[in-house]
Amino acid sequence: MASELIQAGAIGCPECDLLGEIPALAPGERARCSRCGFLLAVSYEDPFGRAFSFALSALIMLLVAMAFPFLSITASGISNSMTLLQTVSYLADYGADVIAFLVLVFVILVPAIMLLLILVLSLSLRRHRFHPLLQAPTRWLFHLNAWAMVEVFAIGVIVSLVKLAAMAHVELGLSFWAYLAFSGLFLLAFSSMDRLTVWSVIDRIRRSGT
Amino acid sequence: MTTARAAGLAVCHTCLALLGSEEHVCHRCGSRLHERIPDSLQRTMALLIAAAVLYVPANVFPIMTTDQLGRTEESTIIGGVILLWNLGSYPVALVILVASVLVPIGKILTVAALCWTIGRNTGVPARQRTTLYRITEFVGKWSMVDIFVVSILVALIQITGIIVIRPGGAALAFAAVVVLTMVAAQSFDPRLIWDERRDEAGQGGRS
Repeated sequence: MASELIQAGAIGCPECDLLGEIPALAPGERARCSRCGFLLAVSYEDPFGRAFSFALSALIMLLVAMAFPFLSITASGISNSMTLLQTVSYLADYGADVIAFLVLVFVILVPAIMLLLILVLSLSLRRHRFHPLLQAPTRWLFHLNAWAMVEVFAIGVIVSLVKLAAMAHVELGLSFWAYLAFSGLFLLAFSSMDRLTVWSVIDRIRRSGT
Repeated sequence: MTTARAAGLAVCHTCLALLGSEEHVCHRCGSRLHERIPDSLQRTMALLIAAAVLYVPANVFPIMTTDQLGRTEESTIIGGVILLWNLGSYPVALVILVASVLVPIGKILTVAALCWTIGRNTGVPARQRTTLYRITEFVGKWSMVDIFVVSILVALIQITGIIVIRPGGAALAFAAVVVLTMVAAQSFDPRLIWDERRDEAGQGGRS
């Protein structure tokens, strides 16, 4: 049953407009446009169970990352530590409101909203249910991804460490590791929600319902 | 090989459903449906010009200010790269140089060049131009790395009286460049690259 989540049928490539036929994909297989190479679909064994587990773990890691010290430094005998949310609040304190807002949105809000959407949607689709009110949020999920910058922030943390290593002693807090785990799990959670699988299953639930 | 347009169809950009090209809303996901993104080239070029203008203050003004023992030091993006290089952190210096200086301007030039090739017979294969487009779309958000570094340093380096780091004026301009180039890449419709191919093939056949 899992292998038939994406049904064979006509499909159009959204990047080059070519019409083609997509075959039924077995788990682990992917379909690309024959002309431009665009990745049309990836098939997973139990995609929604997979997405749910990764999204739940990612959300827990995000909460851990927000609760504990992220990094701390010691220089000339004085130490200072920061939390994830302080990267936002200090910018706002110095009047850089817009930057503070962008960091909050790209690093915490967008990923958190996407994870919540994935949780609700994967749970509902796995139980073969789809409430009409979920249609718009499901659409947003696929458009929000361009603005989730968790892995970019993770690299930003590493760059900061290198910059600071020369002038102070830097200690990595629990949240640092939690954030790295969160960024990996987040990418796995979203990639499990293959859009063709999601919309094909929604199509089928609707047809069987009426 | 037939295209959706030639068959009187349109592909939904959110859920990949095939619909009649006269439809306005996708039946499956409810997205607004366009056969091609409306005014794609004009929108993209307008956003690129705005990004190019802001690229100047983003590099001229300081991205952060360091107050150390009463001494104030301002550092620009390039200044940060030079500092890292002098510290011997060559890989990180290169990451920042590429992500913050080369990628934004490279993106602006690449997407502008892609817009320019639409409707002109440049001889650059469509597949290669699509690859270029995908690279610019993929690297877009990586330019934010410098903004995140500033936000981390500002939060961490707050030892009043000894050393304090504050965000600088270039940060806003720089963030705007990144966001504008990302929106520009999204407004560019890559299907335009492939639309002209029929003409190319026709001319190729005649010669």
